[in-house]
Amino acid sequence: MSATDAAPAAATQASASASTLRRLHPLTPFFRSWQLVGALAASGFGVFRDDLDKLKWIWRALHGDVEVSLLMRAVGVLLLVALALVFVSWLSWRVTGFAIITDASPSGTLLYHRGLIVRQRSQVRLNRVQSVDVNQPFLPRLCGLAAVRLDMAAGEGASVNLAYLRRQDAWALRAEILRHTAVARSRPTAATDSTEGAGGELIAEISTARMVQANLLDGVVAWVVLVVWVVALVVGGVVFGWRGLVTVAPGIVPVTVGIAVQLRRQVASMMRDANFRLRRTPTGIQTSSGLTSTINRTIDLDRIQGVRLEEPYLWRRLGWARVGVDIAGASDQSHHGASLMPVADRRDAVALIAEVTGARLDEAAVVPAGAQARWLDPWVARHLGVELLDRGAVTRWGRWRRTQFFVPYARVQSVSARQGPVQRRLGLATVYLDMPSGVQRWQAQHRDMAEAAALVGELAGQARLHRAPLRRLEPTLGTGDR
Amino acid sequence: MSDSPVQRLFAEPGLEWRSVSPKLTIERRLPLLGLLLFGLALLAFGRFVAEQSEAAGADLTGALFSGLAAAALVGAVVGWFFVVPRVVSAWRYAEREQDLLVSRGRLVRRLTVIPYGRMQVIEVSANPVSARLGIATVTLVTASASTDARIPGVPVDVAQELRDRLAAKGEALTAGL
Repeated sequence: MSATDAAPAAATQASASASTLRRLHPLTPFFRSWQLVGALAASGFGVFRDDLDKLKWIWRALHGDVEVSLLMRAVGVLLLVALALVFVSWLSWRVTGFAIITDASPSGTLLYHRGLIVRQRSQVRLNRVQSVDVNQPFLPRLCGLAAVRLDMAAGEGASVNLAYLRRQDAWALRAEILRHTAVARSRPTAATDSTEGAGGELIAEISTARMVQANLLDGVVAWVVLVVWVVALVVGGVVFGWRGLVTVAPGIVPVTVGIAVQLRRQVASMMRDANFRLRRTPTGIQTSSGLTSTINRTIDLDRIQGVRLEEPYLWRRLGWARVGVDIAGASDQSHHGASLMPVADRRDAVALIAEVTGARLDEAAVVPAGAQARWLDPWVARHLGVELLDRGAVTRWGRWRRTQFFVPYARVQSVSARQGPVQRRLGLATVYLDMPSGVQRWQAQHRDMAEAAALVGELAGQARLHRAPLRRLEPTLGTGDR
Repeated sequence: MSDSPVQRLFAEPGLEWRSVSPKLTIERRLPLLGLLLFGLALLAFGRFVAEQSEAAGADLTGALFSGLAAAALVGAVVGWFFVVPRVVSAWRYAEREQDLLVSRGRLVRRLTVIPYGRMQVIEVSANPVSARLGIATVTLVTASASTDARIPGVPVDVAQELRDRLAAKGEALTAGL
């Protein structure tokens, strides 16, 4: 936010009296204080763990060996603490509120007031909002509550999380915000976007069976390792006796924990991808997924700065692929990229990419890496390649997890080349495209020198040509001091 | 070597490549002076320890200290006469009509091409040493964190000219993210 924002900001501050603020759902303090109660319980447990005698005391107290009044007093204290917590979070709920006002700028501003002791007042210009997601964590979901999350280009610190609202209210608020952001871009929005479920046209849906299959195939190594490990343990136990196993427990435990972590990740990704649905909305793509907690994310097509098509080894037989997108200023999963399509037939995946970015993969000629590259990277060299399309560049890599990564020229910030000493011997160089933060660096490894020089020239030229400014930024630059 | 592929990638012929000021060598050598002093101190300390104690193992300690000192001294000398001059002489930049090229590195060569329209900030900075020497560092910042476009050792007046020229070109060609 520049200095030009200061003047309208001051004006809006005055105009928004507390009465116009909308409140969050009254149950919010409960969910908020649940976390506090949890923390308290944890610390209480920490105290007792050091002193098992106290636990014994509680046990005896429950059996009536200790004076009842003492126990009552303890319970009373606990209740009091809990009440105090709820009271405090109720107070903070009272001062928390938000409002959308439109007098400062044509696109509207979201005011967000919060903080009991340190008062915080955020003003979010809605035309700077990058995405609006409606999320439902597990417990609030049971009560029909949802949180609205606004992501800004600046990333993690700048996002606003309005938690919690009634589910309908959350979706209505999202629609309202989207209307305002759409005004800024003078683009038509359909009202259908607002309604949950029916919003937008359903493009794809993944059956649970397929999702589970895909995840199992993708993580087959972890499962195989688990089976081998368990078999090894049982055989070891039978042969050397179970007591023998106990003596080598220091070796067994870390390995088991390692495998468990891997599997947990697998299960988490299954939970995350369950019930996956992909919808088209007027401004972008909307995905919703999740088994226990539902995550809805709206991806504005303008924000997509990189797309990858992944084909794990075992999926290739089945012709399956996964599509991920990199988004500028993405707060979470910035390294793996948000999943646009956890699993689909390859043809559909390629079609989806074409629709989302206009990139037609597999249509241009793939230029492989230099012949000398096999000395540097004998396993992967054959799978490296570059493909130049009209709108962007694709790089390929990966032997087991074959990946194609596309970035549009319009987002390329600079072009770099690098050559290490070994590469120089072999006459190779690596070419990079530097992308905005939140996007993986595009790299074409081990190109032949002559070809690398041509590639750098070509990519720099294209980056220059495709400097189409972001539609979102343009009006704000002009209207800042209007 | 004039038209080898290396030349074509990292130092495109037909462009007006400008080197950085040789004064950068002085700035870069200063930390080596510290290393040199550290090596000498180690040497002196090792000798002192060896002289003080006649006990068994004193020889070993002395050898250890002189080994470390020798490593520091050799490092300082190699850096002084070999690494720093080569690194400085390899640092070059060229302005094209639409973009700026920065090329650097001897062991690991790097080239960065920044279209003027992508520049967000042009930074001219000088630390006390470089200010004394009359040189400055020009840094180009884009929306990407991985853009590595730093030109150290530009004479202050040239740096100011460069900054103004780049700013003007950048303004004419501004683009969004």
